[in-house]
Amino acid sequence: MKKFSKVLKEINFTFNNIILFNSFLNAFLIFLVLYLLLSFFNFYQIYSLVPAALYFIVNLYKGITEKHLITVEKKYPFLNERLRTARDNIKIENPVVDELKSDIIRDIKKVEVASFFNQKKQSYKILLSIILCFLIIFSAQFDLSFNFKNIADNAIDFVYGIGGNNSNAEKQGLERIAGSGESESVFGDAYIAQMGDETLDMMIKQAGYEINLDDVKEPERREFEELFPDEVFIATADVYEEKIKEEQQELVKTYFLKLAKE
Amino acid sequence: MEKYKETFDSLYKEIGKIVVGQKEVVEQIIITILCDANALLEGYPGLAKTLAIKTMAQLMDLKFSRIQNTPDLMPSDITGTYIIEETSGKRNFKFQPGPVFANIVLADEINRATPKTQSALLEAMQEKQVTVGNTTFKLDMPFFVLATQNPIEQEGTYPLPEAQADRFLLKIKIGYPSYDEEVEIVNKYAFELKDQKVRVLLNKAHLMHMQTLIRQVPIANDLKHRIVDIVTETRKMPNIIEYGASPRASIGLVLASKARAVVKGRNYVSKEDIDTMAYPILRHRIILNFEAERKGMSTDDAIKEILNKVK
Repeated sequence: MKKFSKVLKEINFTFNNIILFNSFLNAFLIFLVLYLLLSFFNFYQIYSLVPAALYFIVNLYKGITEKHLITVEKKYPFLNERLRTARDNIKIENPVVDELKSDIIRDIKKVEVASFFNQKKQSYKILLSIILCFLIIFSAQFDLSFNFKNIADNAIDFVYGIGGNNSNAEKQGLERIAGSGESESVFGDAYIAQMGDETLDMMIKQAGYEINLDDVKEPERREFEELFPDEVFIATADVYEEKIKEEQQELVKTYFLKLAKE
Repeated sequence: MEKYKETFDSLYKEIGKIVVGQKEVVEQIIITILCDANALLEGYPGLAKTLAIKTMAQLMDLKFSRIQNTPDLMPSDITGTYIIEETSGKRNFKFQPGPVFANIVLADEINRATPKTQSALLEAMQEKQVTVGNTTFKLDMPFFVLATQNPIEQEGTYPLPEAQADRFLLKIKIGYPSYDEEVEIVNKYAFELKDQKVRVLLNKAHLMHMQTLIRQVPIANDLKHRIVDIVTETRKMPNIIEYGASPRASIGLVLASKARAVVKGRNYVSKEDIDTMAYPILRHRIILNFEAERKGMSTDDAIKEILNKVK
């Protein structure tokens, strides 16, 4: 009864394909949803692959190991118990078993593959995945993200603010988290800058790059005294006096004086 | 399988001319015959047990005999004995076959016979042969014993030991007919004295072919496991069952389910066949404990519980 074996193979093949498609579509949806969420919260989007892949593997394994004949029998009651019986007695050949197999081959033609595939549901899933794809593209284009780092900074500042007597209280949030110790040893405190003899207090913002143009003012002009050390003086080299002609000496002198002024 | 179903439908129709109602009983008797086995019928007097079996024998063109069991019935009264025959002045011993030499033997009220006589009958039905003196006589095939038991008047009876009851494939319970059926019975038998004739629908060859066919009916593996689960479950319920069924019950349940499938015109065994046949197969093979009896539980209740338990 090779024909009946073919029928069984066809049933298994069709079901495996349906399960493969369903698992892939569901896993893809999971991936898209997680990708969108992670990109919204500025996390590593690639991590969304992990649950999607896990779901795909588990669902595929469960689906393939499922008893497909029972599913067919449930959907088509006229095949109830017959398919399983014929499959379990596939190697047996006698008039009764042969008749059963022939009956199944005749009746299996009434079975429609589409009946095991919820077209409406799958269409919705495909539509949803398309919408999610567009959402991801738009969110990337317009940089729609929920800045979790700022929230974290503010939260930490708030917590440290409540702490009050903490010695690092005046430090900025992420600086404390990142640990600015190493850079301090090389460059000194991050918020103090040295310019000549003067120490300038500087506020360096770690987060937020917005510049309010109204706050920008003309730079302050400062007068510096000309304090040259004694060792610095102007001298005329003898070598020039000896070799330079008398009528040109005045020209050279003027040149050097001009240079010194500049 | 359709043609077999048609045959059985005709059989029911023919038997319906004589026996009113009792379709389930008739079906179970047919199943017993198809399984080449024996059945124990239990029912109150006057429920057409003998009539049903006798009619069945007529329909199948089988030789029918009836043994009315009594405490003084001897084994030789069943098996037959040697008698002296005188021919032309010479006296010879000649074997006179007993009523067991038939195709369908109705052993009425088997629990009234002594254990010795019961054993002789049970040996015949098990071995399909009878040994008298030093000679063994093969019984005519097919051979079935349909024994009846009366559930009341237990005084002076010899109830079949469990080991012997186990040899009967089915224990068929015969209930009272419905009101309408009883009215029909009255109309049929209280006014006219007419001997109803039935057509012969099957013969020995047909029957034996069907018996071979029954064993070829396929059964799914999960249903096979269900049968074994049901039978083994009878040994795992000490709270209500004292003694469970033997593996013979598993074999019997598979066979009876197969036979029922054929009777229903199917070429495969269904779960419904198993669940239906579990009752007559198991009811004489399990012994309830005192606790179950105290609760007023019957063996059928216990079987129902087992069937619900085994999914």
